[in-house]
Amino acid sequence: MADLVPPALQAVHAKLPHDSAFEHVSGRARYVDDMPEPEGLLHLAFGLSAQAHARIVSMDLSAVRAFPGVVAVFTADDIPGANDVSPVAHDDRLLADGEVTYVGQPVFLVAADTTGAAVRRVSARSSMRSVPRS
Amino acid sequence: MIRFLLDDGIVTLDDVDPTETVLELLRYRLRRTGTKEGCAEGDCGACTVLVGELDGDAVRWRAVNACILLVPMLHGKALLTVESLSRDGALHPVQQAMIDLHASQCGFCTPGFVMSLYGRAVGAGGTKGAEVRDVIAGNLCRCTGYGPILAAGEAVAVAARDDAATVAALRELQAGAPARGVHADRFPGTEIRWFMPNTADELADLLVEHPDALLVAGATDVGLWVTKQYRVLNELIFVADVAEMRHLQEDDAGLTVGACVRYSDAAEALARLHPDLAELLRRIGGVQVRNAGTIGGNIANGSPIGDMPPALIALGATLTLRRGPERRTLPLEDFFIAYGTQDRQPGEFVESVFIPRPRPNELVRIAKLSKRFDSDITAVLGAVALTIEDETVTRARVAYGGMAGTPRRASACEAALTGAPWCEATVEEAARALATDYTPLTDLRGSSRYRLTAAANLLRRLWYEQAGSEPGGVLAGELVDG
Repeated sequence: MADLVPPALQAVHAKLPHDSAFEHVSGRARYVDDMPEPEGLLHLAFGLSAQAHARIVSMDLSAVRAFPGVVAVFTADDIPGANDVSPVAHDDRLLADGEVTYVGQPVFLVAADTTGAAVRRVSARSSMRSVPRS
Repeated sequence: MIRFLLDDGIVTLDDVDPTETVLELLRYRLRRTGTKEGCAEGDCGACTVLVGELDGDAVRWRAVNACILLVPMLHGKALLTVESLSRDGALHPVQQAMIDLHASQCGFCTPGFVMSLYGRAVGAGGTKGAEVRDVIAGNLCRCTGYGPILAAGEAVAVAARDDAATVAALRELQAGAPARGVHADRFPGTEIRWFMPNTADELADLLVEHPDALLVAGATDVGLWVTKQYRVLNELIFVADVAEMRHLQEDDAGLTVGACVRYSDAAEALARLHPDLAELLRRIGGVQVRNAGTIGGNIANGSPIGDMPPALIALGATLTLRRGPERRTLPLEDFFIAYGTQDRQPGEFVESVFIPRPRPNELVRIAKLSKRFDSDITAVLGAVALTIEDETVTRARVAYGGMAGTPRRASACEAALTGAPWCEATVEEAARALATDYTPLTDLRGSSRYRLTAAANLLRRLWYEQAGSEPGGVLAGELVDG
């Protein structure tokens, strides 16, 4: 009777290993961060707000721009189109514009030729002057 | 300059950034991407690698988290990654078992589990006699529910590796001057000086000369200063492998633990002091953290939720500090002054801790409360050592962690116990006295009210257990059904 089962159905009730099991257990499975990078690939990191609710009075990003390996630093003013990454309600800015409304809100974006870790270090150590909203 | 063995080849790094992690080195410089970054803080185990060091004629292997291991800590050692297990294409039985028993789904955690289970299969540090579920406590999986991974672990027999070639290669690596270097960091004008003394005398001299240097032992906390806090560390002294600081001496009086003894190396001796210490260790991080972290580092770090100090304080431990040629010893509780401040003078380092053996008539109970059973930071840690003679408490030492800015004795609680009859009324009064001893804060691990309530209930539970009720809960060492 088993000989009459078409090949496609022989998988039914059979314990088949995961298609990628060999790659998983050997470390050969390639995830995005495992892929070799083209020469000149830049890494991005956000500068984040340390304040929960504040008006941005001024931003001095000169030290960030001058940091070795930093290629560009973007603020809301640099966004050519709509500063909006929300799915439906137009309520989520890519970069804060004039005020911040939560701790961790992206305020500026750094592009650098170094690894992600170093870029995060650069953006974390920069400073912004802001006036807390009462 | 540092040198280490990667499989059968020597890796030589001339200019070392001492704050680079082994995970970054593997993935971005050595292009071994099998080892993954899941958390970069020593919790998830996706970065698990095996580090081997020469131990006489053998290699002592330990599974550790590469994400918080700093590159100089590989100097003179051997490193195995998931790629090492199948270099000739053939899979190790652990890997085959994970395939056959369907122990991967998305596969991201899998290399880390493979390395932890491989460590168990070769008898690596911290795994002997341990159940599979304790061996993998430092590895997180979101997909499989762990069942198939446990099955894969159980399916593989334990057998030592043939390390003859590794022993020979490591012997060749050992010769040489102590490693040290100066690294020019990317931050303009920032320089990072680092040292790796071989002996305690070298360390003592170095620290007197560089009193502001950061002492790095297992790096299980310092690693996060780098990966999560982005701190710039200008001067580092790596002490984990200073031989005299890894000495463990056990006798009738008690246990003398060198500051750089890893938790996993002290586990058996601590268990002989008291079974509650073994259970406490089981709750500290996972195998990977216990293989790197040191008891002296845990003490010197001074954290209010450090796991060892409350237990050691209750047992009456004393701490020895050394500066240059001079030493001083003080009760462990006196080392902790205030949040972030310990009694460690410039140029001084923690050398060892002495833990007295509990006396036969001493009732000792240590309990760690945390949201997650495994691999979690303490909310409340209670430790009690009571000497009871003729139904009277003649001596009481009570210490808690997670209740103040430092680990601290509860003097009002002790006063309520000392000289009092050993009975429920006394315990009740002592439990209430804790509110005088501590005003704990509220944070994500527990509210102030939770901490005080739980701390008091730990004492009440001790009474009920002693009065003959069935001990309940996982702290008895067994999972309770229902």
